This record gives sequence, C-alpha cells and structure tokens, in this order.
Amino acid sequence: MKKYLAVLTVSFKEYFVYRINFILWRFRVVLNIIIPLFLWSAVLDRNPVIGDYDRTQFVSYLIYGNLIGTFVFGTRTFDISSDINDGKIINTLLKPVSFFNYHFAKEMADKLINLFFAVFELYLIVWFFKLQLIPPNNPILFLPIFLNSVLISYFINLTLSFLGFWTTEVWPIRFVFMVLLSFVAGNYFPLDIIPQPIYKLIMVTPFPYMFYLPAKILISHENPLLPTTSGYAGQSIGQLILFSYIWLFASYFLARLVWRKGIKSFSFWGR
Amino acid sequence: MRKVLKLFTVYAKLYLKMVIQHKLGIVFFTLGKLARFLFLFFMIYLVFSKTNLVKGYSFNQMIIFYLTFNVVDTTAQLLFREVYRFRPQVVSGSFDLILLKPHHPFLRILVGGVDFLDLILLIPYILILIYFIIQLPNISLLLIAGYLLLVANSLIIATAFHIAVLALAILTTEVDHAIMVYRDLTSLGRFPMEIYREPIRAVFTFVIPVGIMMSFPPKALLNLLSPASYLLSLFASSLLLTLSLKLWNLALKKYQSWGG
Repeated sequence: MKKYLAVLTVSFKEYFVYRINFILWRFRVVLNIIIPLFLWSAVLDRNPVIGDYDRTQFVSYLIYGNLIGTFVFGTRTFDISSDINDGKIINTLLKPVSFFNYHFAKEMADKLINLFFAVFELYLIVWFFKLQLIPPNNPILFLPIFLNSVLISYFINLTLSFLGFWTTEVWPIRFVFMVLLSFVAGNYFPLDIIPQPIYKLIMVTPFPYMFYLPAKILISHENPLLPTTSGYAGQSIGQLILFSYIWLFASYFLARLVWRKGIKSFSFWGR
Repeated sequence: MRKVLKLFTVYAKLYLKMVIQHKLGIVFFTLGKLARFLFLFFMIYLVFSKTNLVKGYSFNQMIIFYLTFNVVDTTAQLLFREVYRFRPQVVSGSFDLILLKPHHPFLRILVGGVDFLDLILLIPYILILIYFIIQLPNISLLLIAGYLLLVANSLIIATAFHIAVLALAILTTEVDHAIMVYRDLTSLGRFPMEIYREPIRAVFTFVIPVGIMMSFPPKALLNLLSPASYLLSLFASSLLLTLSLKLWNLALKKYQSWGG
C-alpha cells in the first residue's frame, strides 16, 4: 500500500512541475462547461421548462455532472498505450509492484487533482454568475452508481490502451471514444430530453452510466427507489442500475481478456 | 514565389504519403470528426425543438454560425496541422535542421503539413453552408462579399494565433498544449457571442477576439454588422498578425540551439 501511496504522491508532484501548463489545463476545463451552460441558459430565458427540468434543475445537472465528469473521465491510461508501443512497459512489468495497482494509483492522482480543482472552478462559476443549484439528493443511491461509473470508465480506458499491443494507432480509436463520451454520456444536456427512441438506444451503451445516471440521481427530487417514482423517461431506476452493473462487469472482463491476449502476444527488444 | 509554392507542394505531397501510411487513423479520425459535427448539429436541432429563437437567432441563422465556425476551424487545421507537432521538434533539437534549410522556417513548421483529411470534411461543410445561405431572406451579393472578406480575415487571425503558438513553444518548455487551448477558446465561437453573459462575451470578443473571428462573418451575412465593426475586425487581424510576428522574432532570438 505504501508503494502505491508513493506513486500517488509522485504523480501529484508531476502535475506541479510545469505550472503554466497546469494553469492552462485548468483553464481548458472551465471553457468546456461554458458552452452548454450558456447555450441552455439562453434557451431557458425563453422557455422556463425543458423536458422535466426547470432552470435550477438543468443548471444543477450540468454543474454536478461536470463535477462527476472531472473525476470519472480523468485518466492517465493513455500513458500505457505509448509505453507498450515504445517498449517502456517492460520497466513497469519488471518492477516489484502490481501493474494494475501502479496504474490505478496514477489514475487516482489524476482524478483527485481534477476533482480538487474542479470544485473551486465550478464554485467560482456558480458564485460569479449567481447560478442557483438544488442541494444534492439521494446520496446512498448515488455512491454505488458513482463508483460504477469510475470503474466502467477506467476499464474501458484500460481496454483502449491495451490495443497498443496490436497497433500503434491507438490515439485515433481513443479520439472516437472521447467524441462519443463527450456527447452520448450526457455532458451537454440531460439525455431524457431527447426523443424516446434515441434515448433508449443510448441507454443500451455504457456512456450514460458514466455521467448521466449519477448526475440525474443527484438532482432527482423524489426517491428513485420508491415504487411511486415515475422513473427515468419510461425506464425504472432498477433497470438502469442493472444496466450499470452489466456494463461494469462487461468492461472489467473485456479489459482482462484484452490484457491477457495482449501480454501473450507482446514482444520487444531488450532495454 | 514559384520556389515557395513548389516547396509547399513537395511538403504537402510528403505529408500526404505519411498520412496514407496510417489507414486506421484516416478512418477513425474522419469518423470522430464527422460524429462530433453531427452531434453538435443535433444539439442545435434539439435546442430549437424547445424554442423558436435563441437570443434572437433562428435555427437557420444558428446553423450558419455553426457552419462558419466549422469552415474557418477546419481550414486552419488543414493548413496549419504541422504546428501540432512543433514542440517535440524544439525539445528534441530537430528544429535546428529546419532552421538550416535555405527557406523560411514557416514553410516547414507552419504550413509544411497540409492535412488532406480535413479536406474530406471541409467540402461538405462548405456545400451545406451554401445551402443554408441560399435559404436566407434578403441575401445579396454585397452581404456575401462582406462575409467572404471577414472569413478571410478570420483566417488571418487564425494564422496569427498559430504563429504565437509556435513562438510559445520556443519561449517556454512549460506549455505543451497551447494549441489545444487555442482550439478550446475558438470553440466558444460555435455559437453567437450573445449567448454568453458579460464579462465573458466582452473578453471573448475584444480581448481574445474569438467573437471577431467566428461571429463577425455570419453577422455580416445577416446584415447585423456595422461598418465600424468591419474596420475593427480588419484592425484586430492586422494587429494580431504584427504582434505574433514580433513574438516569433523574439522567440527566434531567444532560441538556444541544441547543436550536434
């Protein structure tokens, strides 16, 4: 455990070596929430309710969702694919540490830094533009779903990195994944405001379970577990939780399968 | 000039050969960019399924803003792709080899990697844009001329930003994704500046002229731009280009060769 705490600490320190770079990175994070926030605010100026959302709920969805997103989507797994491609992975494999724990420690450093600064950045946005938020609801239901979203994201990112065992062109595949993640996960609007057939199609994919579902649970006024609850655009919360777990296990087994196949086929000259 | 054009063509051909080696990359990058374009198009459609006007703009007008952004952004990417690869050349020292060549370094590091992949998307963007422009009421040749002038002006601003990014890569080793900051900043111009609240609107119109770059051309087309704004736009591009070239010259003076 001590070893992985050291990896975590070193990873933290790495971020603060290039300070201007770090500030610009945080600036980019802030820019990314500005477009959906103001675009939908402009719509809400004319139309006070969109779908089932009033202004406070809609803005809360975007703010909480982005806070969740900074933790869930923050990743250092792209280092793995480049390490595979240039053979550096051998160094990690030879170290007396678990490959997965080592990378999970680095991943957690990225996520924690993201979350720490995002809290301040989003607070500043909320304070500066005097945005009204609803207090977060359903924490007991939120926590396991949030944990699922973190793990689903981590396992999918690992799987994508392991593709480096077979190709040097991992980045284009990751680019498509990131584009899908940006839009289909619900970063730009709550998914249940789109037409039902498209919504149902999206809910079969893993993307909404990384952003939309945890954010939606946080802003739901009613307890989603009560039988009287209207549900989520025609789907019961039980169904969505089930899908979240199915994707958790599917992404875990896929990452494990790709790793096992990849490491068997991997060869590199000595270093 | 003929020599410059010849070299530009040679570099473009070489870059094309390099791109063709990465077949998977061609497919996935094109798919990803197309998906991003369609998703945002769908989001605009979704926005207008909930309201008729956004800050006074109709669906067609909003699409013209979005498509103009895509045309300017994609043209800049098509021309200046090599800027994305410049910093590693400074860090590794291979920039020295470019400086030794008997031509202006911009020919290699600024426009030396014409990205033909972007052409695949640029052509449909332009065609869809023409379709939406034709739909506009009261469109005239004068308005179209003003629009084209300001689009060209936006490309000068884009050039200035890219030169500044090149200079930054030399001046500081602390910034490794300045170009991505530029991309994120300009992405605010996907929609009219009116959707943003003050002071964001003022900052991104006058301090960092994303508004001048991305919003002024469609506004000219919609006859919403005053003559003073045209002048402001031309002044901003000239000023930015001059400043970026000065920054580049300063960076070159500060550059310490790796030698070897």
